[in-house]
Amino acid sequence: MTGTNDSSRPSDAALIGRYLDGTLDGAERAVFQERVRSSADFRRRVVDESAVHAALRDQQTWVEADRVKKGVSGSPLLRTAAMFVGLVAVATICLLVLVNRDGPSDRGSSQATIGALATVVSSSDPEFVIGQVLGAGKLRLEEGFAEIQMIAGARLALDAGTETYLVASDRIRLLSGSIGADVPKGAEGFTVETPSGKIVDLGTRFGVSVADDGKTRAELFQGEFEVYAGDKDPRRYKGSAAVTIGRSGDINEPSENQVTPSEFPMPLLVETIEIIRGEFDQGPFHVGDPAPGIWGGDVAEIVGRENGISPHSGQGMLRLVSSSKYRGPSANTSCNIRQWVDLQDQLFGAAGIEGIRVEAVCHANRIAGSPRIDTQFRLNTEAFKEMPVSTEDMLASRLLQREVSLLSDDDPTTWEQLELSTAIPSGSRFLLIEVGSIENIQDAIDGDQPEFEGHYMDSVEMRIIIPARPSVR
Amino acid sequence: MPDNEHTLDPNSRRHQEAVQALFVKNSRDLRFFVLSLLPSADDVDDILQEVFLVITKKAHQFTLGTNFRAWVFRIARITVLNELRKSKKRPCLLEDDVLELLACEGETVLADTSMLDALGRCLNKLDGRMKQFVRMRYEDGLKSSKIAEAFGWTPNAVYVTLSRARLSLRKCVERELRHREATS
Repeated sequence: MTGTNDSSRPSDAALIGRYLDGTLDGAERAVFQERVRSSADFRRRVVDESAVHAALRDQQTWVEADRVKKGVSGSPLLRTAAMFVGLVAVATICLLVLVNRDGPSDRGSSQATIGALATVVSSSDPEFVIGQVLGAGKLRLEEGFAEIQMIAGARLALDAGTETYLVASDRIRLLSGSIGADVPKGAEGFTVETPSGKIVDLGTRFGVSVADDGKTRAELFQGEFEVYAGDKDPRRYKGSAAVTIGRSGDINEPSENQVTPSEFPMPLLVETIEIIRGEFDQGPFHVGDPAPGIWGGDVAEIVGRENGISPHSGQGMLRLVSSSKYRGPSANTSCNIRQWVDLQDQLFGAAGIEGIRVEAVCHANRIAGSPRIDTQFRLNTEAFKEMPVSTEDMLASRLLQREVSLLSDDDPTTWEQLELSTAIPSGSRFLLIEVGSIENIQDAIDGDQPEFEGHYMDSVEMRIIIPARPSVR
Repeated sequence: MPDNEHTLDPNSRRHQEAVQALFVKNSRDLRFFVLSLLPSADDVDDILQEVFLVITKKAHQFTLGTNFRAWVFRIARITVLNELRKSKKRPCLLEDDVLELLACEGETVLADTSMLDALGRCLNKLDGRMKQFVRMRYEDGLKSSKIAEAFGWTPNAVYVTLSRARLSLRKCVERELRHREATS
């Protein structure tokens, strides 16, 4: 061997270089291993060089280096992927089919797969296959509609005729057409460059389109974004906004400033619907008339640990007491509480589209010890086009009703889960979520008998899933 | 992501999805970690897929809110060791105890995406020959022996130059990240 520290041993640099290249011969391997075992400094050096070696093998490093060399300012930090992905997107990140389109020259399959920037998660264009991994380069959707999941977390929807260039795991250049973006927490900083400016997301849902004349239109549907144009200071927008950027870099806010989400394709949205006091944490609690954000219904109260049962989460749980608005048994056979949810804020111009789903979950538990104790719990959800003001209204405007129930076990140390998943009809604006227990064993009607001896519910959650859609013009 | 992920039943589909989403979030760092254990491997993504399948199967063992990175890096290390032991295509390069020593050291190293941004800038600061060798080795994918042939150098001389370049880049990245932290 040549290039050694002494006549019998290769230098540390040569050993590490050969290790990283995978070309250590037998004798060199023995020396390398001896050095790793005996020298903390050598071990550290191997690991430090391996880290740089790994990063240099990532194609993204070279994209960034080229950008810095060209003096492109505002290089964003590459962020780690954000939390939301569906099962298909998560699994396909592990697949190895890479397509480079009009991008940097092919560096060979191993380095190219390392440079993945996005994955196709849905597509009706035969050129894009679900699970296909995309690297830096131009992307044009000829027909149909597609969704891609960027590695850094943003999820994009593209209409037919849209042409983009994938620059980095959190940056695209929109050359023509329309995109819709959903950028979850942790993926902030996602950037859309256009011929006339750029939009930097600060945690949001928004749409961008580029017209044939190069004019950009950006609409904010939720959260915040910043708009950059020319040499001007960026402008920040929150909540809801519509902005145009002319070819000369002038930013205009149309006087009506009304957003039109239906004019942009939108990716899949999965969002938690806030159920007020769904955790039943301790504090003042009054069951009144049900309304958005307020539990209403029969007699129930929030308690801490009792009867050998601890709350499913937090410090409190709901105890169901009686089957009417009054303490004491009644002719009714179930104790229910319910809350209305207004979907207006969740729908983002999706009102009227088909395929929207809601999922609800709650947890139930009860005392044991006697075969006379009722065992049945229920979870119910209903969808309405309007908020009813009377029972007749309820029947007239109800679009859907779905219910699940379970017969609980005899073990007060375990909570059991009720889960419900259903499509809701297009036109649904209000949801009713209802939880309760049923006198399925013994109907107590005597004033001295408790209807529900120890029946508890906790952790009520709900989420809405709005399918991806193309623009509707 | 649901607000109440910590209350999910570990055996539920939603818990599994939450664990899978954590995998995606950490997948870049994980890729670097596996690459650092298998520096000359071309099938890193196969191993990542294997790790993904393991974490999916064992999702119920992970408590949301605890240190996912430590858990998944441990699984990745075991997966790499198993792969090296069983693969006939790739005879085990290093012995188990040496791999364990490097893997444990590697888990503490900043080999993650926060380095990439700084690395792009540091590459442009390398001096002429080092930058040229690094580009040929990593951007063009040439083996060190080919670079040596092209310049009439010995392979070991090329190894030494590349090693110095990597260490120089490492120091530059640390400086950049320290500077960013100090000015943020």
